[in-house]
Amino acid sequence: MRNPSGGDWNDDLRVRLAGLRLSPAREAEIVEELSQHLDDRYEELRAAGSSDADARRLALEELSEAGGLTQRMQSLSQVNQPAPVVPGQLRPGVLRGLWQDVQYAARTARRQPAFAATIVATLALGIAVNSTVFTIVNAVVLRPLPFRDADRLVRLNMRNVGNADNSVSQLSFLDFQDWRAARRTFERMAATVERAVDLSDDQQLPALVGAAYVSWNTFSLIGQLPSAGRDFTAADDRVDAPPAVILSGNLWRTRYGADPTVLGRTIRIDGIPSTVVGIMPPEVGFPDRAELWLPLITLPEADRIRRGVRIIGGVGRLRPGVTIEQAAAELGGITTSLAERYPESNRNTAPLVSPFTVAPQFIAITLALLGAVGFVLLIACANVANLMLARAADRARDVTLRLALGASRWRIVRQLLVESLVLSAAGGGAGLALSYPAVWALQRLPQESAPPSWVQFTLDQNVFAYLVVLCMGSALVCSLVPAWQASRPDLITTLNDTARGSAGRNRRRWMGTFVIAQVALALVLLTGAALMMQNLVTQLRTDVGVDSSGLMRTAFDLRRRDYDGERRLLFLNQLEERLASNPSINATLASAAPLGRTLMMKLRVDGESASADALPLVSIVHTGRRYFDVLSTPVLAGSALPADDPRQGSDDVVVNERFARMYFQDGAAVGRRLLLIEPDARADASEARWRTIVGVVGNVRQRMTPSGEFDPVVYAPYATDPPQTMVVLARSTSGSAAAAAFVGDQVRTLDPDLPLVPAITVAESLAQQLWPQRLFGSMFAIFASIAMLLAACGLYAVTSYAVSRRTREIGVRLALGADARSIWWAMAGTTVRQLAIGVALGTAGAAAVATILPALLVGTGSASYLAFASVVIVLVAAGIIASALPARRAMRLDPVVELQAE
Amino acid sequence: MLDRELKKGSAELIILSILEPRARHGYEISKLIETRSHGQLKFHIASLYPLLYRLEERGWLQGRWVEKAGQRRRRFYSLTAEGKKVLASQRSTWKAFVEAMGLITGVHHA
Repeated sequence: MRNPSGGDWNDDLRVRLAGLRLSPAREAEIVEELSQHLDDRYEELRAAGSSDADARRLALEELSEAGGLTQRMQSLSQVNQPAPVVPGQLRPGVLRGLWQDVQYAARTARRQPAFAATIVATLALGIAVNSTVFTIVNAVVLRPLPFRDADRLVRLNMRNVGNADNSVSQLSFLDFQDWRAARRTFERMAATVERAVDLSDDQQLPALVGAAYVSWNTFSLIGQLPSAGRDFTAADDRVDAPPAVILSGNLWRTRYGADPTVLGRTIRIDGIPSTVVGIMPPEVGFPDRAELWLPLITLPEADRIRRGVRIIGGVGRLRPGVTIEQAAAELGGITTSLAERYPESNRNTAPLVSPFTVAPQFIAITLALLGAVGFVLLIACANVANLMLARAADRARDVTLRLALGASRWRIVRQLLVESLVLSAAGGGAGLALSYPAVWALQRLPQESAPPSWVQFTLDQNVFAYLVVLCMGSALVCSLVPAWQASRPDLITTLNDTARGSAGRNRRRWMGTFVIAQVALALVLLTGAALMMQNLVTQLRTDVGVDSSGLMRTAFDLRRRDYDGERRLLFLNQLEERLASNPSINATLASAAPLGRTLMMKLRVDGESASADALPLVSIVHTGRRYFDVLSTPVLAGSALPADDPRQGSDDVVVNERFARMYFQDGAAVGRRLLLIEPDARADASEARWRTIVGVVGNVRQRMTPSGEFDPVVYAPYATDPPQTMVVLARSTSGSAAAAAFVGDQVRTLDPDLPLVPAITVAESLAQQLWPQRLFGSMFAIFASIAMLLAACGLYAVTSYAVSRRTREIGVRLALGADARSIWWAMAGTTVRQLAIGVALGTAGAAAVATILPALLVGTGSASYLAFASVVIVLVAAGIIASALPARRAMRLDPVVELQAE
Repeated sequence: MLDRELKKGSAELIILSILEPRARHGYEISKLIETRSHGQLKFHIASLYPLLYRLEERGWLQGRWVEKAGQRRRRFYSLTAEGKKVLASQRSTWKAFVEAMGLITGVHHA
């Protein structure tokens, strides 16, 4: 039965059912059934005397009663049926909906620019630090090395299994020759020795450049070949071959202006005319940062004929399918037979085969950094999520209206997801822009802190992919909870009033959770940073034993001068005399500056009978006569000078206080005797002679010790065994620049072609040695500061939000006579509680960091409670200030104004 | 009008009771509820049908399209075996509840 004037109800019904996403068949059924009901109802109303229009209106009104049809059908399982998918056909509705969401999000962002900018800036900060650190991880861990079959490349070293420290050394030239017989597991083996050489030619001043002596097959082994000219050949690597040299792209550009005619020209390396046969691409500096390459055979003969001289870095390419263990086993066999044949030098040695990568410690600390910036991003996300939650409260009415109009819950969630995706994409873009300068700086690290040339920090597709993942991940993390909350508003309370119902409470609970997480994460980061900085500061403050800031050091290398022992001694004696000629400059010679690398020798003290393997290693410094004078080191016992004329050589030595206390129970060292034995020789080596201790001097540090104590040092006159490389130490009343100029003049007067390394103070050299700690310590400090700032902002925002949401309550309380302090506590109390929970959780995390970090750091002492306590104090103070500001605002509200506003 | 909560709690029982003797269509159900409660209870379209669909989804009711000569087809709802069981149990629960309320409040059946 069809009622003509009741009309067609189809449209009215379909509009209400649209949001339910019923299957088309079911929707048609329901429309048919409900139309009949409406027809009957219309008839009934007409029969009762209603007008046509009234009857229709009343019937339709009943559709909206009691929350409305749509709302009541929402929970049925027949709703939200996916539309049938027609193969080959796009679903324009979904795509169009998405595009609408994107447009809507952009409009919203434009309408609330401050809100959007805050979110974008927060995310940009978090994403920028992450993509920067990921650039390092990518270069160090992920990206394959720029070598052919990089996964089959291994480093070859020698492990000293005899002494307790299991130390690692390089190979001797002869050992390397023997190892090459391991053809079963190795395809090829190459050798490199890095060393500074004097480069001179007819165009420019002589220069000291970093060179690498390489076996002729090195470049073909790693698959990096000269970009101009030719590679070394086997013929270049023979004793009688004409000297050849390959220049780095960098040296070719800087010294020779990229002049192609340099190829074939003759330049002088350590005074030996050599022909430039090739030029490498600019990015190659194998094995580290070499500026030029020489055939291995051109190493001085002395470095090639003794098995005790272990200066060769071995590189091997494994045969396909061969494991490192198999390779080590084959080399182990060779090494054992070498040890039997040459027990003097090769006893207690074993091969060490390791993958060709960046040092594992560097990798570990890089991953620690990645974890740290992950925390920063999580904190940033928590802030953004809180901002979105707060805004969701403002938009609750809007959302409720859309739900009531038939929008599905997923639709609302999707809208918010798209919004946060748009914002995080903007944040990602800004973050990328921010990380460009950071990566630019990484690419230009100063020479002493730069990684090997084959580690390149670039923003490549790996970094971009990571960036995209970060953006999507943070969009999801930021918006899930807000979207979930927004899509289930408490309909009645929301439409009746501002959100004070359970939805508001829920939202505040979530915000509190985020704040707790932020505080905990920030605390962990701050602790890590504090530990690293503490470690750095301790080391920078290392007591060197001398006034290191005014002490200038430079050095020269006589190895490549045609100086025999006598000539060398003559040169040193002349220089020492000249250095004493200026009354305002106090200068001397030594084989090592304080904190500089020294010769280490095995020590046997007279009267002790430790076995050869158990002999301790001790630092030896060969000094000029005025060494302790220049350093202002006090002589504590005996004399600082050998009894005989030091220029003639002497068996007298001086030890430092630490040495005296360590090896002589009463500390009385003067008159005692000791043996200094080459580290690779046997204990009863006959060439070692007894030395007599003639004096004890104050402590001067040569190396860092884990305990921070001074290390034992033996001083011998340089004339005893004139060293090849010498350091000049000088102190001047007119500054270290004047001292450096004076020293340079004196050296050039004696030998105009001898280059000096750039002069720096001992304090500066200490700072240079600590570059990893400086670099990573300051990075951690930056990240931790960002984290704390973000966490404080989070606390501020949440308290602020609570105050703004509870103005009426505050008004009532004030009107009822509550005093300001109780209002303050009502507002800030929650935040303070959250702060406390966050600190408690963070302490657990910080404890974990405190146990892990020292393992990553060189020379870190145990975790300091003082550092941790100060971190907690700083964080809690920041948190309390952040929450106190809005709470103060609450305290000053005017009850009359607040209650009227309602 | 009865209290909304009470009505909501008892709505299922009402529908099941109405359908106990025989199958009926939606409009008939709403009219029966109204007349049998002397106008105290009204189930309008917006609340009735969602409830019917829900009970149908639970398997307590079954809806069937029935065609009669010269009329549009209509959807008739009848109790399923499970629906009958639920009705019996809800009835006894309700009875116990009303008796308990009577004992406590002193309100008795006429």
